Amino acid sequence: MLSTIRLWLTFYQSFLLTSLVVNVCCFYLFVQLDISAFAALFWFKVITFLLTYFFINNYKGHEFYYYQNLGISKSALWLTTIVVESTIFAFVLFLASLLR
Amino acid sequence: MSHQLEVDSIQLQFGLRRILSDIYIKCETGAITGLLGRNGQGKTCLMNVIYGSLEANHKSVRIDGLPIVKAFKQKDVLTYLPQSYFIPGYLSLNRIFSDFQTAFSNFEAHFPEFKGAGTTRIKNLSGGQRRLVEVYLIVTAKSKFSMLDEPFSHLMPVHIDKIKLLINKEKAKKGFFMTDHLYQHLLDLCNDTYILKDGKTHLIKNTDDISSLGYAML
Repeated sequence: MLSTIRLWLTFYQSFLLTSLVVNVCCFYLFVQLDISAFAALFWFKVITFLLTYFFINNYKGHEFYYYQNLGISKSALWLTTIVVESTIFAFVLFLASLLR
Repeated sequence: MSHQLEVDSIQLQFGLRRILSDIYIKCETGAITGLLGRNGQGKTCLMNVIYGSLEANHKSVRIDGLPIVKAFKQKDVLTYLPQSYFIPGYLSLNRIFSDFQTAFSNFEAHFPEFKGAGTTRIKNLSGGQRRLVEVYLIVTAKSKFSMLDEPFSHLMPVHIDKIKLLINKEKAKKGFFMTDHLYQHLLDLCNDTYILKDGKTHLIKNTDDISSLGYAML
């Protein structure tokens, strides 16, 4: 289990910076704007995630063999990423709402 | 324990172009099975279909008689060395060997030029060194079978000889299925060799088949 988490973190590391920038932007905008900005931020998050997904699949697709050789499928990596990213996004908006 | 990998009934088509249609491959523990074929005949596609990372219109891949659809989802069953680099460049050799549960010291013993290079990131190695690490990991990986797509490309002759020795040693524990255009090395190693031509596999009975099937002029 620990090795699986470590491998997922390795995968996540390849787009960690992008994710961090997007989440910081969402946090800042949600503090500055009112609740009506939620829908725009949600779609901003979804679109940037989809762009990341297509970038990784097209330009780093060969790296999936590394994880597959170690028993982790491409779908398992992305599903875990979706769950973690959604959780982080919800947490970021919750923190921002406390500061508004 | 001995295992058997059998592949047949593969139908793969891209649009109107039929790539694979009449395939039979058998690979066993203790044996090395080779695949030759001209460029564009579908060797890499066949390996990806066996591995489960490429959907075929129809396929039958069996290990010990049991059908297996996506081999990569089952750990320790089938490992695959693709043609291109597959290890994320920012990982260190120590980390990579730890992921594969392989001792880096054994690798150093085989290839002394890597002594003390454990903390080096793989992207900082030369192309040939990087390929050598990848080939070594897949050859020694704990699995029932390993598929190697062009394992000798980019390797220098002395490393090719060492890898051939290693494959011969490791075959006691697993079966190998491999392809490479450096076909003399393949013929040296393989117990059975197939040629893939026009979507069909032909088992080579003698070296004359290689020229008669249009793969190489001997």
